[in-house]
Amino acid sequence: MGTGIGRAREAFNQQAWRRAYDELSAAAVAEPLEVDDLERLASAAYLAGLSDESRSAWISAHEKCAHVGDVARAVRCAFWLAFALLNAGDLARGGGWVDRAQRLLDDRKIDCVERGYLRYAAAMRATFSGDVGTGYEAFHAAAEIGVLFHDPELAALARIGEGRCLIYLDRVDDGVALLDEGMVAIEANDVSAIAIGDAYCTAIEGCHELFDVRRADTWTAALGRWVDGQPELMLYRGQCLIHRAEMLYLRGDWDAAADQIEEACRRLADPVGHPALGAAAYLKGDLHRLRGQDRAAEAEFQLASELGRDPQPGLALLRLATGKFEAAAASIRRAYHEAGDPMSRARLVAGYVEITLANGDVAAARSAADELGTVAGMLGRPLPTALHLHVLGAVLLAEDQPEPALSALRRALAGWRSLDATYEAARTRMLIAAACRAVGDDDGAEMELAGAIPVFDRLNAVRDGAAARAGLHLAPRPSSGLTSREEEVLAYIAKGLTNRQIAERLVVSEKTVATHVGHILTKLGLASRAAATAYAYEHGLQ
Amino acid sequence: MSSHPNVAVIDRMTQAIVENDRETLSRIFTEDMVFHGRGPVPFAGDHYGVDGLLAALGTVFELTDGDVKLEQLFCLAEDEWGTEWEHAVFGRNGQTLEMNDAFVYRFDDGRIREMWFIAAGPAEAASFWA
Repeated sequence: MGTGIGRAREAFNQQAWRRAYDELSAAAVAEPLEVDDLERLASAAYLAGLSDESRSAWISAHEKCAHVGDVARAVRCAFWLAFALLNAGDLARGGGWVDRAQRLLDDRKIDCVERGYLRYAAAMRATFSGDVGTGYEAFHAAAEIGVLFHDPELAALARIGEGRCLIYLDRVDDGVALLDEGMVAIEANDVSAIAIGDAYCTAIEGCHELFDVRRADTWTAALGRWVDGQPELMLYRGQCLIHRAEMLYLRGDWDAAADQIEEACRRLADPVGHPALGAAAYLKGDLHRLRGQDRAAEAEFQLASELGRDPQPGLALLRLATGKFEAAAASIRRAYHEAGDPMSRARLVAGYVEITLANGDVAAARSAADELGTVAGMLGRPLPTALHLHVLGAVLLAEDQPEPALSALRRALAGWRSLDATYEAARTRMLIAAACRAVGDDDGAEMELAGAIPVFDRLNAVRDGAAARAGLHLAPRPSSGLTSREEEVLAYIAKGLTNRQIAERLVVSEKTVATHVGHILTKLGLASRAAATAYAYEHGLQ
Repeated sequence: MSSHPNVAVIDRMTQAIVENDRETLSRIFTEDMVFHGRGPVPFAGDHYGVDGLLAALGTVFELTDGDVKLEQLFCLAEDEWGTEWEHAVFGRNGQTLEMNDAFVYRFDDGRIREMWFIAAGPAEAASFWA
């Protein structure tokens, strides 16, 4: 064994995927790699975001094993190749490798755990093709084989797949229980990094489809800890990283959410055309919208649309905020009716109800609120329940029923608070204020508005802040033009911290800090960090 | 020459055992089936019904922590009898055991009523499982 191979294996064990790939590739030039190292090369390439290199290494490992008659191992290599292809959406080639590997096992009539891996790949193919019932059966069979052969990796991955299929088949509680079971097994056992990354993404996506914020939060935090320990890790299914930003957004940490979107985009393997990029652009656009940065919001929504993400309801809400009522109504109506099922409509319903009520169509808003009520009842999760109560309160107010509206809105507020959803809670307080006014309780209304204002100010939610102030007849808030994150970075600059030190304090990359510093200098018209320090002291921002 | 349909029944049975598919197994075996384990194997003895069969084979997976590879070498069958020869590789506590095993099946109206396992393994088989 040469020293190059030794270094490569050490890098692999340290989860330094890019370095492991480079060292193994260099060693392969000197002499052909053993199967163990070919498998390491393929895994490291996959985790470093080098998909073509990974695939060719899996093919080499597969051929080498087949050549020496180690059919089971050849099949295992073919499985990981198919796994990568299927996850990348290449169902034809992925399916082709599944069939080829299956034939190898069938020709020799070998019964080994790899049969289960092939059932798993077949389940992926069926599910991605829309045949969830067949997918469920095959995941179930794969899980049974994993249990029989004492293979925790296969058993856990298959349980998670099974759970996700059950959710699609409307057996929500059974599905969620299997997701939890699979995730606990993934965390408790020694499984490969590829399996861990895939399990997190599958479970988190499943939780988001169910609006199950608490569960998504648990797995998102665990994913965050796992990802942060591997700076060279790139993910193929980056949607779960965007969900990490969405969680921060929901919890009212919008600056961290914006930073997280940048980090997520950096970690996406094969970013050209990656569906998560559309989701990232949409989220950025929505943050700009809420902060009154209309042109930036418009540009991001446009980008999201080009990347295949429907920019609704954000774009319609932007139109509403800028007084274009008819355009807002036409867009949101189109998106709402185009959404094929109640779950998809539930993602649009808050915007849809706000816009239809602004246009005076109370009947349409009522029907949307009622449908959301059915979905929330079926899901039994706190977020859709709070969302339904908020929307219902708005409809009841428009129907001139302030007392039942108040009751619904107070329950919505309790729901948002239990989820730490600060912005949504403040928005609900605005509606509670309106309901209080409708029953003649001006004191109650003013207390609600006074409670909402600091939240909107802290988030820089300028339109909501202005609306709350208008309700209290207060003067608009003065602004430095910096976001609260930028003010935070400026305070660190004033303390003499370097970008690297600031990055460590804020738990973001140095590149993100450099971007913030650039924005600060541009917005304040300053030429240097020294000038920024002076500005901070003059304006009490240090 | 096409194989007898009972060969497909034997293959389907093996697949159902691997997938723990009790529903299929209960259709393949008669309710009063008996599994006879013979030779230096951990499940030597007679086992009754599908549950008994699965429990007996389960001990092999338990003891090897799932490190099992079974390769069918050939399978022949006619209406009443079937036989299968298999090459097995087991891993346990860092040791590997390779052995050839024979299976004999007695069919009754297309279902398996009796099944024999005969280990033709090497002398070290007994100490491997001990």
